Parts: sequence; C-alpha cells; structure tokens
Amino acid sequence: MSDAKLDADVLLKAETIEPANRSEFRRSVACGDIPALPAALGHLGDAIRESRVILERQPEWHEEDALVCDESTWRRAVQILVAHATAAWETTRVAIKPPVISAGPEGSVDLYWPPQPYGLLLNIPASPSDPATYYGDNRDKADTNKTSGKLTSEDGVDPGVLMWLAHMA
Amino acid sequence: MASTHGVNNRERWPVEIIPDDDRLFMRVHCSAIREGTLHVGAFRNRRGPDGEGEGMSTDWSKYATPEETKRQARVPEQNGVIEMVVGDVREIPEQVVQHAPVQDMPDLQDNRAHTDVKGPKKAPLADTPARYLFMKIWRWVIRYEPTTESTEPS
Repeated sequence: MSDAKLDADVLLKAETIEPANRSEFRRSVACGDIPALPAALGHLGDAIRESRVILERQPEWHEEDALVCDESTWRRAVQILVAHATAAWETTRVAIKPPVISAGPEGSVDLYWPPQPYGLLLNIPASPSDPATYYGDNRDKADTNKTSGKLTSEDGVDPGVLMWLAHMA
Repeated sequence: MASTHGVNNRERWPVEIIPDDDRLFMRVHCSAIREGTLHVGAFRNRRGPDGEGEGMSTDWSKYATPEETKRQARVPEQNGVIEMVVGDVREIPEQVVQHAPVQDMPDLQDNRAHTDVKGPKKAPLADTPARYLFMKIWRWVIRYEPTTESTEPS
C-alpha cells in the first residue's frame, strides 16, 4: 500500500469517529499502537484495541493459572493480522471478520475465528524464532476441507491463510 | 468423591479404562474467559501432579462432580468448569485420555477422578490443530461468575 493511500485511509477512519477523539486516534496510530488499517477494516481496529486486556495480569491471579502474554508477542500477532486483513481487502475487497484475540499457552497469542462454517486458529508463539502455525476447517466438511501450516515470514502474507480468510467476510 | 483426606492404610486406587460415553470435567481460569466466552488458550498441557510429564488435567465424571472439580482450584471463585465427552476427545488426533488418580502425593489433595488428556503440545505445528478441535467439543457446566474478589478481564 502506498503512503498516500495509507494516509487517506487513516484520515477516512478518523472522520468516522467523534471529533473529540480524533486527536487521540491520530496519536495512537502515530505511536504505532495499532498499525493503520483501511477504513473498511475499522472493526478490526476495535477488536485489536480491546484485546490489550490480555497483557494485564491481575494481581490476585496465581502465575501457573493465568494466561497472559508479553506486549512484543501481542504486537507480532497484530502485525500478522493487519497484514493479512489488508491484503484480503486489497486483493478481493473482502473485509474479514475480527478474530477472538487471546493469550495462548506458554505466552503465545491466539487469533481464532470460530467456524461459521469456515474457521481458523492462528497461533503466534512467544519466541520470535518459532513460526506462527495455523489450522482451520469448514465445519460442514471438516474431514475433507481443511487447512494447516506455518507462516514462514512474519513480514509477508501467507497465500494459504489469505485464501482461507477470504471465506470469513 | 473427587477427593478424600486423612485415609490411611487403604488400597491403591487402580488406573481404570474410561468409557467413551463418560465425561471429563475441566476447570477454566478466568484469564481464559472474556465476556462469558471461552478462549482457545484454555486447552493447554501442564506439568502433571507428580511433577513429571505433561497433560491437560481433567476429572472423570465417575468419581467427580463439576462442583468438586471447581473446589479443587487454588482459587475456586476464579474458575468455571466445562465438560467434554470422552469419545469426542479421543477423536482428536493423537489425544489420549489417561486415568491418573492422585493418591498420597505430598502437598496434593487425593483425587481418584484425576485424568490426563495427553497429546503433542510442544512441536510448533502439533498443538494448533488439537486446540482448534477442542473448541468444538466442550460445553459449560459451571459458568464463571466474576466477583469483586476475582476480576474478570473486560
């Protein structure tokens, strides 16, 4: 995406929010809290913002019980989500549904789309040297229509995941 | 009963074969629940009661009730309880349901119902399919209710 297009989309998104919140929105984008999204994917931005709760360990939780993750892992997960959602939008004009963004085992982050009928679980491990892995199926044909694999590059967009996400408008 | 205390000189509980139609109860910590929705992270392996091996800790319905399963938590009010049918668990590739009663172990409550669900969780690709498939087979038996003492993330 060109910078000009990106700026236009960010501004378009900013126009859809209350004037009182616009400066905060622009600041959050500028600080890199949430990567800029095309305006049509504003609902993903909401889900990403809400998911920050998985970074907060409540003081009364026992360490072995609690599912939490580091901010760096959360940021990598957000980056992967935004890259794929943006690519799906730009190539097919499909605005994917927001996933459930949650803490997974051993400090990882899960991006989960419940089967409707297509579903997907994309897990981003705590260690940046380990690849993100995914598995999904079509609930109605789970034995024959499924996908799995690992992401080879966090900067790029995985064609297999992209094709699968295109079913999740 | 899920737990029995202060009973000495008794026979060891045998490891039994669990029928497919029986159920497993599993505690879910509130950090794996948001706005009443269970997160896929709830399905994870942990170190076993004996400190060795790893598995997903559950209770067999033959010897436990959901309430007993909840009471065994470090902080019961921070947990809900779900159930799964044993046969459904066994249909998930490489997952093994293994009765593993806890008896006379230091610092642990006895628990005849204790059952491990073992399966690969370490290899990069191994656990993602299993956890996705677990999300299709559970249901609540005791919903987590946030209290002022145990704050659910929101």
